[in-house]
Amino acid sequence: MIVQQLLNGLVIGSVYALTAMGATLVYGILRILDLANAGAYAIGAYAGLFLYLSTGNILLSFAGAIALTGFFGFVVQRYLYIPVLDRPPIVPLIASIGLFIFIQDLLRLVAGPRIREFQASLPFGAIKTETLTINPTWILIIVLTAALLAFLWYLLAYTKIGLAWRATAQDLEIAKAMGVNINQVVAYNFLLGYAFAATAGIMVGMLYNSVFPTMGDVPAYKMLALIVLGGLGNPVGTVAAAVMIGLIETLIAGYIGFFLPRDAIAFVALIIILLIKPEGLMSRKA
Amino acid sequence: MYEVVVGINIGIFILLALSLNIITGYAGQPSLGHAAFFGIGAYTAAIMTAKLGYNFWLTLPCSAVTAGLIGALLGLVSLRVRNDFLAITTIGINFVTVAIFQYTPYFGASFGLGVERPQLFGQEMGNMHFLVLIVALIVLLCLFCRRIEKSWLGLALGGIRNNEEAAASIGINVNMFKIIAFTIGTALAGLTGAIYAHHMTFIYSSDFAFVTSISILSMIVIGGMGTIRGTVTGAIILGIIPELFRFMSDYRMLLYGGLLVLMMRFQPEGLLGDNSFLWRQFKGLYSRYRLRQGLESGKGGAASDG
Amino acid sequence: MTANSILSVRNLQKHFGGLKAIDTVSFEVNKGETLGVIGPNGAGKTTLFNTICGVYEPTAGEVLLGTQAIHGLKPHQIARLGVARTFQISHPFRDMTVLDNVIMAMGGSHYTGLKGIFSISRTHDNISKAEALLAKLHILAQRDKRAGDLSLGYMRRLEIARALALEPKLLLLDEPCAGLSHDATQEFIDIISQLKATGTTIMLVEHNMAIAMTVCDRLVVLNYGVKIAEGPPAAIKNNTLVIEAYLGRDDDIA
Ligand SMILES: Nc1ncnc2c1ncn2[C@@H]1O[C@H](COP(=O)(O)OP(=O)(O)O)[C@@H](O)[C@H]1O
Ligand SMILES: [Mg+2]
Repeated sequence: MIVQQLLNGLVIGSVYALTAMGATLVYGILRILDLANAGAYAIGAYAGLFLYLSTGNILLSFAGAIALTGFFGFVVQRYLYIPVLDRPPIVPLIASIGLFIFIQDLLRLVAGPRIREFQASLPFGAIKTETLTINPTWILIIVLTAALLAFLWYLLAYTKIGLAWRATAQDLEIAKAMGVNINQVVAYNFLLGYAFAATAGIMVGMLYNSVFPTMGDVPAYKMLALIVLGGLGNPVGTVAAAVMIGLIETLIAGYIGFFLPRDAIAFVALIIILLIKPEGLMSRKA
Repeated sequence: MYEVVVGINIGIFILLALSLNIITGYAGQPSLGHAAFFGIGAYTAAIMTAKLGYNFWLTLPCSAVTAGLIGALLGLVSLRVRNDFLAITTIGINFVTVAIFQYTPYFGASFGLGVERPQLFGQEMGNMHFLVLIVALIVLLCLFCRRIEKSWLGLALGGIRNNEEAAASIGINVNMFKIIAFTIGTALAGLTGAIYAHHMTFIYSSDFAFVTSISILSMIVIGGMGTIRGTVTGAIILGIIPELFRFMSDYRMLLYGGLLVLMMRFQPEGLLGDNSFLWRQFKGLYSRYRLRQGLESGKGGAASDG
Repeated sequence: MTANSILSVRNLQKHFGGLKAIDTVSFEVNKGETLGVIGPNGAGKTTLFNTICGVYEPTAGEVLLGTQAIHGLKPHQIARLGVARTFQISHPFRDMTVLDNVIMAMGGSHYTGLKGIFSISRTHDNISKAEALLAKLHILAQRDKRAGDLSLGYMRRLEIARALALEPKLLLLDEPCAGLSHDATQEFIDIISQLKATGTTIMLVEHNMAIAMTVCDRLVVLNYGVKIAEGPPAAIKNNTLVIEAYLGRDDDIA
């Protein structure tokens, strides 16, 4: 059973990693905590569900949802975050919270408050052994997350835009002085980050067979926890923290038991860690 | 009677907004978990009267002290964790507090806690009594805040809000004043919680969730953080809109969210904040009026500033 | 320690990891004098101020104010004891008025205990004291402006007014003229001379040798955290170590 639990934890961790990645990238360059990213997660799930229901093609539904949400990310940075960059940090933070609430309520009004089922048939079956069953959604989540993270890693490590991103993350002012086109970096960043969130949203919708307006709530707060645990805008750290939290939650909930619901575990961990090491677990700064 | 209930609801929001304004407006410390302290006060009061049989009036100071003490702990946290991260920590505290209320049987778990309406002169307190009590508290709290603004406490908090290093360089004990701000602000939220519990006669953990914190924050942000007029105006506007336009009640969070985004994008000082468009216009008009009055009474321009 | 020494710094060290930002520095500041601290960029001048003011705890060594050891105290305690400072990068209280910025520095004992925190701060007395200080720094006309809206030169003056409101025994100024125009710099030299004339004891960090030579009675020269010379300006001018330190790091100065 332990293997099953570990696998379960890994799946959850993958989803967390994907959810938190967009916000981590944003924090990395703009030092803005982008809660609205979790709104993109819910938008992605809804868009994916409706496309799937109307076309019956899961591939098309992923592609459409990603394109739509990526475009939304572009609009958000262009018309909301870039103009308030030189304000105190609480201004973009409150703006992002406002946008998040707005998105959630809009989804509720447009699509209704009830939970919708998301039963997609995948073009491959479950893997079964004597002790272990890996259902197709799990396979999809693990493979897709790995592929997207590998793609991101390639982008950051080997391409021009990745170099620009890293320079900007080091020091926005210096990067600007060196001639990096900051607006372009930020635009790519949001396109990609929101697309990741949308992917995560669809996959979670399928995993739990439910899509609902406030489905971004828990990921939103957990995402913040992961950014901090992962070292404030460090993509590798975020993945590590996501997998770690996914496993810890699953194991504690499965074996030890905790008097609060499993979602509270990440928060308790977050509060404790912030108190002990306010700069985050794997912080790059001294 | 309906108007009285609306008045009570708005009044409770005004009290909450004024208390958060001490922490976030005066001292500049972001708190996205203020509803947790409102809840701590409400649960303290409900347990005291419903389970332990104490008098309602005793719950007011006790709820304030309980919430204030826990708030002082948050003040200690704020010494280590700054800005955005303090904001996240407060979200976490809100979340965990609500989870504790929701999953602990002693706190009624998901059934909530029921209390009885308190007695006043041998008679059950009605809505009108609550409204009078709340209005009286609002007046007192406004006077109290005015006093803070005029006192050394206000200046010390202003120093911390602007620049902690500079504040320390003129002798302000930054740590002590942060804790004072959190203690006062959360204690007042706790006191409001005690009134809320006894007015509602039933409390659920979800009353004190993150959305409530966001509503309170929206009020001070939209009205104008750091000012009494802005805070009160924000609470009234956001409290009354869903009541005035009944069809709006379903769009409440859409409205709050949209307003927050628009305000942050175009007018981060809020409607009536010190440096906001409206307030500057108002001050301009006022000083022109004063100037004209001065000229007419033959005192020259001497009255133009003051 | 001489009889009229106000501040003595003894074998002071401040290390950041492996970097010795201040490396065994000793000197005295005497009552009524203007002591200049000069040295190339990165020499450790600001770090020296921050260590004296309690922003950093020294790695080793002592700082005495009169006869009282102040190292290890918190910045607000050191400010209360009479050491006031300005910052290299101005830190006015941006959203408050110029007048409030100055009155704020008059809180004294109200800022360290709970006593009197609710008493009125803008009394007639305090307002006129603050106005006098603003007049002294020639910024009384800016009285009701928000501090954040001031020009750089005015912000610097406001910071000095705010520091003087503490009625300090010792005033530390960190590069008050940096980034100012020639004329504004000249005005600042006048202001500092005026402060000297009224008996204020000043420690002045100045990057520009020429300015330091004009206003200071004595100079301490730092290079890579080490004190390489000390003495009256005339002697420092011809000190080969000092000339080398500046010439050798010419590129940094630009
Ligand atoms: N907080 C700090 N952490 C690490 N190194 C620092 C810190 N503050 C200053 N330094 C380093 O100490 C040295 C002296 O800096 P500073 O005192 O600012 O020089 P100055 O004011 O003379 O130009 C520099 O090498 C600087 O990089
Ligand atoms: Mg310096």
